[in-house]
Amino acid sequence: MRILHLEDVPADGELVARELKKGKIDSEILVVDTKAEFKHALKTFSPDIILSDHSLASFDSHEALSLVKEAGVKAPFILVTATMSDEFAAKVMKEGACDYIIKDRLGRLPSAVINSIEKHQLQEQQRVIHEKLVFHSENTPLGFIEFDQQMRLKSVSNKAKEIFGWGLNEQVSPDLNIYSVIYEEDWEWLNIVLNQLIAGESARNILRIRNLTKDGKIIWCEWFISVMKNEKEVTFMTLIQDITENKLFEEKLKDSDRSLKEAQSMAHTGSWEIDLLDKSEIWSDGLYQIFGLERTVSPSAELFLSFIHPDDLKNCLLMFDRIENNSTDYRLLLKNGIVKYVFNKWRFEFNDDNTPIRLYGILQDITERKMAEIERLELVSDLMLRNTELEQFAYIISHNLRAPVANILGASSALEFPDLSEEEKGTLSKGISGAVKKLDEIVSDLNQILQVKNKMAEAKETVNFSDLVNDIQASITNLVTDVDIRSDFSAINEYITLKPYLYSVFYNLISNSVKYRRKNTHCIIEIKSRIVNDHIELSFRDNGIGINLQKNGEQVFGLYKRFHDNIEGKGMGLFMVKTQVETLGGKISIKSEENKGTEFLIEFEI
Amino acid sequence: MSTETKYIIVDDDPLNNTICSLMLKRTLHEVGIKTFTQPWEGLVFIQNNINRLMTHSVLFLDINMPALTGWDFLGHYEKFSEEIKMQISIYLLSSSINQRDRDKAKKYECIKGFVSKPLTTEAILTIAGNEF
Repeated sequence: MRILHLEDVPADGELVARELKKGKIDSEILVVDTKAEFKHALKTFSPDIILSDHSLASFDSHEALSLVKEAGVKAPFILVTATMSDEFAAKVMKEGACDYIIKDRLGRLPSAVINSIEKHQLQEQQRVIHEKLVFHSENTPLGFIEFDQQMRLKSVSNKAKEIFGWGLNEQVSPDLNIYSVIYEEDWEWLNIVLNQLIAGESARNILRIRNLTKDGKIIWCEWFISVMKNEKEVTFMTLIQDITENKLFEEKLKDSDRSLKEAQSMAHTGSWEIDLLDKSEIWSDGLYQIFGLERTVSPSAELFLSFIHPDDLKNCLLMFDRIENNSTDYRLLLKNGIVKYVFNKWRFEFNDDNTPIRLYGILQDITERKMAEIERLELVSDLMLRNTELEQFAYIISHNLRAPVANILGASSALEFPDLSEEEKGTLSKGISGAVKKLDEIVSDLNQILQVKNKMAEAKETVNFSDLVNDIQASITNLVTDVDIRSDFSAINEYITLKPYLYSVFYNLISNSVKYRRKNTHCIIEIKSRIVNDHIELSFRDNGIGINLQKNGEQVFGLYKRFHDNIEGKGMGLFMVKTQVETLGGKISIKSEENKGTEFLIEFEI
Repeated sequence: MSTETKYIIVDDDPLNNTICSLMLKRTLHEVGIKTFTQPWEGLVFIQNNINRLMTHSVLFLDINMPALTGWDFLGHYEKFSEEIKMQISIYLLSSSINQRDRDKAKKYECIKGFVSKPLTTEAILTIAGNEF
């Protein structure tokens, strides 16, 4: 131990040295007795402890202590002196001396030295720790404050000052109420947490509250509060972090998430992403909505595929299996049987090795649009059909009206020739009256056709198919005997419709079969009903002469279209049948082979 | 009638055939006319008698006929030899001729023109002037 001893009486110096030796303190002692020597020793000797007499010839202990401080020497300072008053001792101690020894009682010196050094070392350690603490507390983003149960602020770190917008040098009143830095709405929340802490329900708590800065700005802070209790008082040690930016970011995120959800719901759109490595999936609320699923169901590719309409699944899988960005429309078949049309677009994300790692997709419910589109297409095709029908109708009418008119014109101008024979005159006038009759017929046909097209409002009734066939058979077999009508209405025998039309349809088809039967062949007509996909299907099949459909297919149901010039008829029957079937909301089609027979299929919706 | 057949009429309407014959006779006086209400018979006549009976002839063909329409008739006629076709000029005779028929007629080289029913003296004279 290195001891610097300031003493101008050599005997006293020796006494001290002896006492130290006696106290078994192994030491190297440097005794100095002038101010200059003392100053030099402070710089060069680096003492572990300093002993000093009070009054020396050149200066005193008071000045010596100042020199120690000035030199920045941290060694403890013990006053060793002859006599002194208690006041003086107290004064020196206050100035930084560690202890004092009266020369009469030097026996206490060794223990005083050891104690001082230990105390000094402890202080030094604490000082370092304290410095470190201060360093850390001033250099973390966390502010530190202490307050007591009366909510009085006990200490504030610089960082805390910064957070609350105080100047670093600003003296914060130690008894400032903590509420003054907290937004009023959050007082209660803080109280709840503090009460829990005091009650020992939790030793520490983290809470997010709004704080007020000096200039009245509201900031979001996270408070880490711990409570320190002893007999006398309760102290809340609190670390404070300004999280305003995080909070704003969070709010923004929430907002954008909310707007995304809102947008998805408005656009009837859902989105999904699949991690192709671990197969995990994320579905948006919108997607759950489209599928009509609860948010609790966990997403999976299998579940997704299970919603795709079975008729569209194969195509979808073909597209999904190709690792390329694409989009397509398809149908969903939901668990409640509802069919939805969706638009699906997807995009792959690849890693550096060109391996797909993620799949993003959107699914848009386009049912409304699709339905409107389908309706529009139906409307357009319906209009086009009607337009074509009207054109044909106009053509037929003009042509068929024109034919007898041309005859009348031709015959009447021929009648003007002066030297006609009686026979020629007879033929021409007969021709004229025939043409006039024809005109009349056409006009009444037109009347009939137009009536069918307009008479939808008539009352419907239950029509029994077998009764209908029996009635018609009775009226036809009065005229023809070798006709065999075989009917089978076991599948369905009744239909609610306009009876006169259905009668006309049955009558025309049956009488056509009779009319166009093959010579020398027994005429067989088979009539059957079936139910096919929510439709009634009526089939009329004969073994008659048939029609060449390759040649006449388009015109079979045309007005005034005739295909057999050796059999009487004006080409109205099938035209009327088609018109009436369609007026009843049905469809008619024909299959036929020449010299084999003809089959008509009529479909009605149930 | 010893006169060579110069006019053939194919129309399922017998009255029209009577009117046409009368108009032709009164307009052109001595003239050979053949009328057919069955188009098949007309085709057969042309094929069988072309060399023996006819020099240059005019065929009035109706379009709207059941079983075999005017167009069907032309389909068969087209298959005849050039020798036959060179001798015959076909005029479509119809109670009303619309654009669709005119468009369709463009496909047939043998069709020389359209005549609207009834056949008039003026039409006969125009055609006779062109053809003979």
